[in-house]
Amino acid sequence: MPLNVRIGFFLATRALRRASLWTTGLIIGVMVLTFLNLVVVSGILVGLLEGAVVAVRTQYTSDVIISSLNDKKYIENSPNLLLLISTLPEVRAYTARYRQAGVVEANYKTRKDTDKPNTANAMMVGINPAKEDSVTGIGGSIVEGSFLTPDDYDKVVIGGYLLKQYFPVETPGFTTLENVGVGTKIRMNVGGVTREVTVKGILKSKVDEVSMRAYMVDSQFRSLIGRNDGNVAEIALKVAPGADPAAVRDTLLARGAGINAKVQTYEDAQPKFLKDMIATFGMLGTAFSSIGLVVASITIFIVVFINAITRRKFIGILKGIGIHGRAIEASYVFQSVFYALVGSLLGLILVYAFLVPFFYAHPIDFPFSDGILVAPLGTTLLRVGLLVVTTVIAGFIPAMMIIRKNTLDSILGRN
Amino acid sequence: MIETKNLTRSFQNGDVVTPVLKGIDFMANDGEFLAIMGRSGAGKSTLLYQISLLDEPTGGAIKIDGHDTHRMSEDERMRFRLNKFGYVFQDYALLPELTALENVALPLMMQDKSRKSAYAQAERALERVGLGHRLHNLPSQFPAGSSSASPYRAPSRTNRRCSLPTSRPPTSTTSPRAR
Repeated sequence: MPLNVRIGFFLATRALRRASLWTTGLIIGVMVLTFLNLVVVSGILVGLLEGAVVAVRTQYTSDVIISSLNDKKYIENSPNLLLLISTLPEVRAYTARYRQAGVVEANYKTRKDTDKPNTANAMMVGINPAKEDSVTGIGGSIVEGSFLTPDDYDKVVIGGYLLKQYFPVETPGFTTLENVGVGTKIRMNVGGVTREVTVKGILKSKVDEVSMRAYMVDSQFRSLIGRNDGNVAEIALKVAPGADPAAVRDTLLARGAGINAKVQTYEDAQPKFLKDMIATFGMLGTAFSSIGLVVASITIFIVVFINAITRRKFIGILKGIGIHGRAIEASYVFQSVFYALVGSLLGLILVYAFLVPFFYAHPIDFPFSDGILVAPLGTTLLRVGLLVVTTVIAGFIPAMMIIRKNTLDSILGRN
Repeated sequence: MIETKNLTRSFQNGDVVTPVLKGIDFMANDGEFLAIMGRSGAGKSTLLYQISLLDEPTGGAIKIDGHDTHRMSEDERMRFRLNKFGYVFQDYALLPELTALENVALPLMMQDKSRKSAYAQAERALERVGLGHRLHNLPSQFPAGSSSASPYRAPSRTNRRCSLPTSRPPTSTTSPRAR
């Protein structure tokens, strides 16, 4: 080890070992807060959207989503496709959905001829309740009543965004049903066919595609829309643990699934606005982190500058008795690295042992997502590295400024 | 041997130049023990700062053991101070976070001695000046008044060419005149 580094290390360890516990605690506290600022602020920002992405994946698209082509109402040859899917070992479960836009109406029994009908545009969906629940688990999102069973007849589960009490938004052109709860009869109009059904359950989710739908057992829905060919509009696939959704997508495309359907992974199927927001929030997170890094470097600069200026006389004496300036600079660099590493280590423990599990168990209830804390280890370690490098520079510069002063002036305290 | 020739040192504050040392010729031979006396402000400390290479003279030459110090770079001066000089500062100048042993061993380690060897040499030196029982005391743990046995004196008397007290003589604060 070079002599100056060895002496610098010797001086630094003694300075740290015999420093005031309060001062050391304060500096490390600042470093921990800086680390949290670097990781948590951007992590929450990204997590806000990550929560939305996760929700869309778990409740709607699952890992791979197959949907009808843009110019088709359904996926042609769906039975063959479903047969193919059932043979893929990477697919753990799948659910097929019939889908058709329609209108639900609430006050048809009580309203006068002059009254405006209380209607809402909705996507009507026919599902196999057991298969749907095994893939998306939306049965767990029922907030009132209960989920569908295969034997339900003329019963629907309705998404919360179609009901005024769950989605009190007054947007022109967008209407919701009023005074509708579990047990209320409503009227469904799909493709010119009207049927009276009973609300069995209300489903609440922050995923629009889930909450703006009305669900019915697939066998009845088929008869409602007059479909006997078994062609569905959507198929959501849940892949086995460890399997790559992109690989499953590619396998399906290779087997010709792309001829009659769009085959997308959950990432491919993300709406453009979500992708744009993820990119925007990522940039915001980086901007906030950069500001945090600048604040951290200024803090360390001030701390080391004050430390060095109050010890200017001793620095002068060290130089006077022949200790090389580089060794003294190295001692300040070692001290800065120590503060940065200990602060980051405590921050890492806080983030991964406490904050990430906490936010995973108790997501932040944002209006459009359940926000979690996203802190990928690789990115976090990169930030630790950035913090250490910044701290070293911020510690080195003030030490160098003081060390470069005239030795005798430093010893005598002259300016 | 220390020799100065026509040594000058002036201080400048704006346009005002204050000459302190005006052409000092001085010589101290090996083994000589000298005291420099003079009235307050006469330039005793300034002379010692030049001789001890802590300051740079405005003019003239300083030769120590045949080396022209005015031709040395800052690094060479630093190494010269480390290897040739011992200092006794006015207020003992111990590093507060180092023990007596570490304070003494530090310059020896800077001379590239191993820590073990430096500690052993420092321990022997401290024992010689009666501080063997306070090896691991921090400066703040030394009893008041005992600091006259500064640990820095120990190695300076064991392995260095010159011991330069950079403190003022006791009379300087009581007597305005030279003795």
